[in-house]
Amino acid sequence: MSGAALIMALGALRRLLRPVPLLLATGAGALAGLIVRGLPESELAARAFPLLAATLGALVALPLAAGWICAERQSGYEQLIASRRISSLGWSLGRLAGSLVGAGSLLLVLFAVARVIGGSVLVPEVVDGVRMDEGGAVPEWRFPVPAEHPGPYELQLDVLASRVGQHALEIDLRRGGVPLALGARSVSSRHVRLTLPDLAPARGDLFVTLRPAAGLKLDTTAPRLQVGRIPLGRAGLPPPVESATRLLVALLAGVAAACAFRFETACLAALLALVLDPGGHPLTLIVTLVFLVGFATSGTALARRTAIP
Amino acid sequence: MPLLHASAVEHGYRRFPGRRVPSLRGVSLTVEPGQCWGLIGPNGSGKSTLLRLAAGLAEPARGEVRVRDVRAGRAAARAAIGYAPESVRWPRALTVAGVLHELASISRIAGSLDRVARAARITGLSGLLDRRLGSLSQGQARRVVLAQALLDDPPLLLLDEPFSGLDSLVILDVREHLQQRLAQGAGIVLASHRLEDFTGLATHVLVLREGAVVRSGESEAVLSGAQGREALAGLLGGAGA
Repeated sequence: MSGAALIMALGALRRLLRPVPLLLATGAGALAGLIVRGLPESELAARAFPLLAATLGALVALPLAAGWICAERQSGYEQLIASRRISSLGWSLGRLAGSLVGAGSLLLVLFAVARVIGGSVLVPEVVDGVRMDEGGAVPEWRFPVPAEHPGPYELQLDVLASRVGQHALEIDLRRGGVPLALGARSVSSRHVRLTLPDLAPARGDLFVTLRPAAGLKLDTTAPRLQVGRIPLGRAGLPPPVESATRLLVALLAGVAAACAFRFETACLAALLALVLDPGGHPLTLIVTLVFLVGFATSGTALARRTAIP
Repeated sequence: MPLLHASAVEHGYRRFPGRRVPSLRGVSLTVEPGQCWGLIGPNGSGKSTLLRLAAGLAEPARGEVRVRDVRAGRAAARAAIGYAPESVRWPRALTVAGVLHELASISRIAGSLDRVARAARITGLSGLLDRRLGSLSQGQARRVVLAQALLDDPPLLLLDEPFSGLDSLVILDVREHLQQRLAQGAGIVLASHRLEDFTGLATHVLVLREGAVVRSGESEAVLSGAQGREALAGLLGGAGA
């Protein structure tokens, strides 16, 4: 990249990494984080976060990346650069690279804020039960309870009842050699939630034996034990890696179109790239990137001479 | 070799649905070193368009514009000009020094720090270099437009209404600098709708009306005498006369 192109790239960075765009990215990140906090399950949050972050990221970064170029054309500042000794290729490369890095930084800010806010939400820590009786008539389940989680715990299981009404479910507990017969509990819905004591000072795995009464059958899915609540954490909110290429191409398409056309057209080009997703195959991606650089360069060359009506 | 040569230039703006509104009709102009051409004419007469063509920011429909014998718009032609358009809305968040350094760096001007300081001194911006462009008054913003055109002492200056909105003292400093540049062999094309802007500066005058040349020649011949001034006053609707 030539010196002038580098100056243009730094100029693009200076325009994009200003307080207002940074504030917008932070706000969008906070919104994504708050939405994640409102989701009921950590698995749902993990699935929804990449989509949510990518969508909000596109809404913030794409118009900003294309907008500053169009704004400077309308304000007349672009003509001062156009009348100077910079080649159209260097100019467009500088704008593409600078906008890409600038918008990429805004996206990183958005994701970081979203993960900080969303990742601090406390979610249930659940362990799956492991069946110990190998198909016996009276099922016994082992729950590996982490030592740092004191009780009480919540047992979650599904049952099938042959008729509507109350059914008895007898529960026995065992932990570190200490047994406890909880006795029969009344069950009336398919999804059962039962509170189990800690059995302190006994530590180690918790063994639960379930004896359903006549007319009640345990579901085939293993029961689960909620042992406490932990922060969702950054690991629970994976970055939108799958959308990264699509966002990159959309950003370049928006900036390339902004080099020649109005803001609305640039946004439309970015949207089109998002929908078509030309980055699916490596060869298509390379061809698309080359095309976009060529498009930006020819657009810049035509626009600087007011050759586009 | 002339600094600027425009021969029989025609230009028009496209208007929906495909109609072309002519802005210049067969305009010719040759600027030699040491000459300052004043372009005068009423609004819409084509003064700014002629400057844009010389700056390579527009293509003539017919005719040719060459800067130092290179077609206007080519890199070598762009390197030889300093262009100050009539109005620019600056990026508000950048500082005066930031934008001048950016433009100097793009033009690969050696010693850009000194150049920026000098251009700022000529245009009275020395105390405003750290100010954000969004906080400048109209006159101060206008001075930045002038300063960027003077950055690298280009052989050809294209100035569109350079003195409008400037303080009298700044006008004096800029005029003095322009006279020095003329003495050093630079060429200036200065568009204005006020005759007094040309006094003591313009060696030649080109009078435009509706895109066509009405009168052209040495400024004394065009402007001197009651007849010339009266004719101009009628042409410009009394402005500046």
